[in-house]
Amino acid sequence: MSKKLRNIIIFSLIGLILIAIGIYSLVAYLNYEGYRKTMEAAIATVLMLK
Amino acid sequence: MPLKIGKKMILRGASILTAAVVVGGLIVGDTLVKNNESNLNSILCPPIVHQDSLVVSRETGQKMAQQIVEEGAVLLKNNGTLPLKANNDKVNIFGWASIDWAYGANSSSCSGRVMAEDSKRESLVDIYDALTNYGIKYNADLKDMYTRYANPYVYALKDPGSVNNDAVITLHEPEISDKNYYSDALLADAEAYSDTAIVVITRNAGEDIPADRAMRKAGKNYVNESNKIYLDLSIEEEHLLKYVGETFDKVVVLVNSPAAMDLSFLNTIPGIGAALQVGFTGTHGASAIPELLYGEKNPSGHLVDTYTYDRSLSFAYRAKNAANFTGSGLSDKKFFEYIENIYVGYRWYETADATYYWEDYERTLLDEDDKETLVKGYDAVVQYPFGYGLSYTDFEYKLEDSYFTKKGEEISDVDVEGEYHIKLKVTNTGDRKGKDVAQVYLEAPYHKFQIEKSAKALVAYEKTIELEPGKSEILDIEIQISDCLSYDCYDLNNNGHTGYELDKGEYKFHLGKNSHQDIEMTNSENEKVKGVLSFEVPTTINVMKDKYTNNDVDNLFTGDDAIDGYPIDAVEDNYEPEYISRAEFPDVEEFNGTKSREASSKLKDVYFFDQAKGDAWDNATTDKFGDPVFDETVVWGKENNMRITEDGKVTALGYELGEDYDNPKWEELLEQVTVDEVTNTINKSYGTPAVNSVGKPALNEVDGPAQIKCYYQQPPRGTGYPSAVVIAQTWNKDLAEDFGLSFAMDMNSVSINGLWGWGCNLHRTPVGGRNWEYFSEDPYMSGKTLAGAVRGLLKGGRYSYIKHFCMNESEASKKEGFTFTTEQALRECYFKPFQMGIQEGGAVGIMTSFNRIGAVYSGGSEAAITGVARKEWGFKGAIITDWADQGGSYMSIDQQFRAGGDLGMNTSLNGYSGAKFSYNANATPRVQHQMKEVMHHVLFSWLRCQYLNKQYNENPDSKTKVVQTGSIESYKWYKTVLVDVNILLGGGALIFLLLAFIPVKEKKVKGE
Repeated sequence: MSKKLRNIIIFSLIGLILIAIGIYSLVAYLNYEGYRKTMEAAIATVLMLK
Repeated sequence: MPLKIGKKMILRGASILTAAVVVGGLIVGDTLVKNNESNLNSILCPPIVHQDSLVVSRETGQKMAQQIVEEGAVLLKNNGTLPLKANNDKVNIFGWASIDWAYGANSSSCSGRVMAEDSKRESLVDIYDALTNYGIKYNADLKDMYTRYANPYVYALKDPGSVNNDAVITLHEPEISDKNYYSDALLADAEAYSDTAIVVITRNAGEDIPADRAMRKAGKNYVNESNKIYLDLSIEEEHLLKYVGETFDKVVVLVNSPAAMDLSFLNTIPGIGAALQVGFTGTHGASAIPELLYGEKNPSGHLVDTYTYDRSLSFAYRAKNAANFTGSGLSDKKFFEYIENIYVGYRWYETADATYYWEDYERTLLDEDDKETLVKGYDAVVQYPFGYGLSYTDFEYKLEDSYFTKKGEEISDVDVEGEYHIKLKVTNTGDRKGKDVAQVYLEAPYHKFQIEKSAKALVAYEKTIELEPGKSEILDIEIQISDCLSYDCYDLNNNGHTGYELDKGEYKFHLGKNSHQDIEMTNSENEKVKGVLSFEVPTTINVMKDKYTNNDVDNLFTGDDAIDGYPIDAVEDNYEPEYISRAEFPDVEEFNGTKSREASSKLKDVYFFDQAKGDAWDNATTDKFGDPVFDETVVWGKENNMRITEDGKVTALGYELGEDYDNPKWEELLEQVTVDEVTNTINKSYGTPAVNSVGKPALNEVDGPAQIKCYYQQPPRGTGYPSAVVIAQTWNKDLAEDFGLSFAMDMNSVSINGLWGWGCNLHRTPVGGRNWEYFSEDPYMSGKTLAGAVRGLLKGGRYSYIKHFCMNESEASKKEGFTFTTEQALRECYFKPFQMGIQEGGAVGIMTSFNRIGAVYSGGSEAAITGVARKEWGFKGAIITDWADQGGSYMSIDQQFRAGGDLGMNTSLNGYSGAKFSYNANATPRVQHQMKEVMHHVLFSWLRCQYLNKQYNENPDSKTKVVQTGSIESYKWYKTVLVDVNILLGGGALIFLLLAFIPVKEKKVKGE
């Protein structure tokens, strides 16, 4: 294998890793935000009717 | 031929090694994070707090705390000194303790501390703040001097980790003759400043700090008094009180402690005009003290413990220390023997008095005019009886009516499932408005050498509304006849029955000022008579069923066939503890504590849990109660399209299931649950995880009976409430319920669903380190207050684990301590508050204790958990262990699971050393069914409080409406980071290997 090809593979892998990290983090965060917004929509404020 | 190791080979070897280290590190790191997920969540990602709700709940809570002190503070002594006049607007405050006010208990353990809600000093109210806010000035020079003597610790601002348990119970009090502090000028100025002196005496304690530790002191020029215990008065305090008593016209002692400390000095040191016990006041409750001192409010609190001149004149106190087992096998274990039997607290002092036990006792005390008087008998032993409390006004009583009822209808004779009503008219005949308490004590018929009976036992109480002078209220006092039964575990009356009985003879109800004195009342003929009513039971009535559940009740802990394999009373062929009997009480002064003894082979056989015991349980065909065990196929993970919440809201199905534990829809719902969901639920601490298959959200649970806090006690926190003792001292059941509701609002605001509280163990002795967070020495008072608080909490949509089930009365030797008593005492005294909390309060959670019930770990007691709580009392909720790493491996969730419990706290399935069990679809049907039951209990606990909250909110009579805010889990960012790190380092390791192993053709250099 040529050095050039090896470097292409290595840098592609690094790129893939970074993309995976980015996508995973984004999906995890958006997933949480979805949950939070759903919960907040269901939240009522404590009412004091004394 | 020698092996040639080339440069490339070394490089590759190093690469493999590095990659292996990285991957190994990741595995270890991931495992560590997984195992500590609960703790990490607690520290890094606590639930989202609702600030708006927090403002409202704190405001409500602070008012509630103040009201509790208003009604719970007990006026112990008053020769007319109180109330202070309004123009008495300057006071001297003495006592170093005044600058280090006790808001709550303290220790390095987490349980029960009270801390400033937002960690700021400004959010705490001590005696100085309270007086200042009330417009009263104090002598600042005295305060400065105390601060110069020793800086206050202000534990309410300290993290638990920074609390030194020894320091908590260290007294600081400058000696009055030490002119470096009490200079002549300072004292002369104090006399000139005001004729009023308030002396603050504080005693603290807390989890893991027994209050019978030798007296410790710090500061300068103090006298070492390690022969005394912490609850005694120090010589420096005594000298201060003598000086103050001699010097100032008006002397008021504030007892800033809920512990029944030695208050003999109130009757031996002249010049003390008044004393008010305020307990621990929480963060804001001290604001009520000036209102009480100046008469804006009238004290209406009554003691819930007996205060004696000599605490050693009780068998419980003398038997408070655990003894060691001797011989091989159990020599590192300790055991308690509750030889006082049912005679705990006032039951001992009153019953002994009924047998003329105290006749030869005498003591010289000061009378109301401070003249020395020789007092004899009971009065020389008991300073303040249980139920004692003074007022600024007087009350008169008229008996309006008394009658039996059953199911709301008046009946002519006693019925064990019925009630007895006393209609008592209470009139305020003084010139100040105030509240009064009607107390009813049962005197059951005692037949010598038969069933043990206390001469007095609290069976009912009612508090009036605030009565203006001349105004009256007719109280309807209801006595449950079921509270008048005795538990005859040995068939001592030879009627062929072991269990609850209404023994034959005359039953008297004493309407008491306290446990010792009856009130005087006017009867229907307008005669002045003693407040005693009676009825006759001609023939003993055996009671075979529980009144609430109609389930069978019989001995489960006594004799050779005790369910847990060893009798609770430890009676064996060659050994019998010396339980006292009213037939002939022995000389208490000759009893010098529990003696060591050798553990029998029978005891050694049962005390531990192991693989064989677990396997036997798993494969049994009948349970220990003789009932067949579940043997059908268990369905897991089936989709029946049932959800208890949708979009964050409880569904109609959820409410329906919360209404009825036995609703047939439960079975279908539980079919959806997976094995992993159950095991994750059992293993999680600080709450229960989401159960996605049925739509259960993650629920958060924390400790803190006096204050709800976020994890690790970090702010924001709910209101710091007065200690449980002060709540009980209000004798106000409605207030206890309002307290529970207020507590729920706090929990609501900080996103906590479940409370590890409240404690309802008894004040078996005055030196229990956690007495302050348990309600009383009396089971009925403890149960009533607990039931009220729990009812309030459930209405607010929150649940609690009442604790510590059972017999966790001592901080010393509590871990793994074998605890023996009679089944009669166990049921009438130690089980009773739990039973009332469950049956009257509707509690849906129980926490087991560190100690053993008899010989078996409390969490592993099938007799207590399945036999009593679930079968007899009908308990449907979840049962959790206490903090399992505190006591070593004996606190096994595997064992508790098989005893009928549910959740581990800081422990996990198969965490018990050596034993491994199956918790999956291959386990026996009994195990799988029990796993389903765990989920059933956990889901029901939450849905029950959701249902009760909905009912409460929809009730037009509800005075407060609590709409739940729900809990929102924080973003678990560290988990994302962890995955990212895994990808990054794992990928990096792969690249590293590729670099080392992919052969690269070197470019030929021109000319080579």
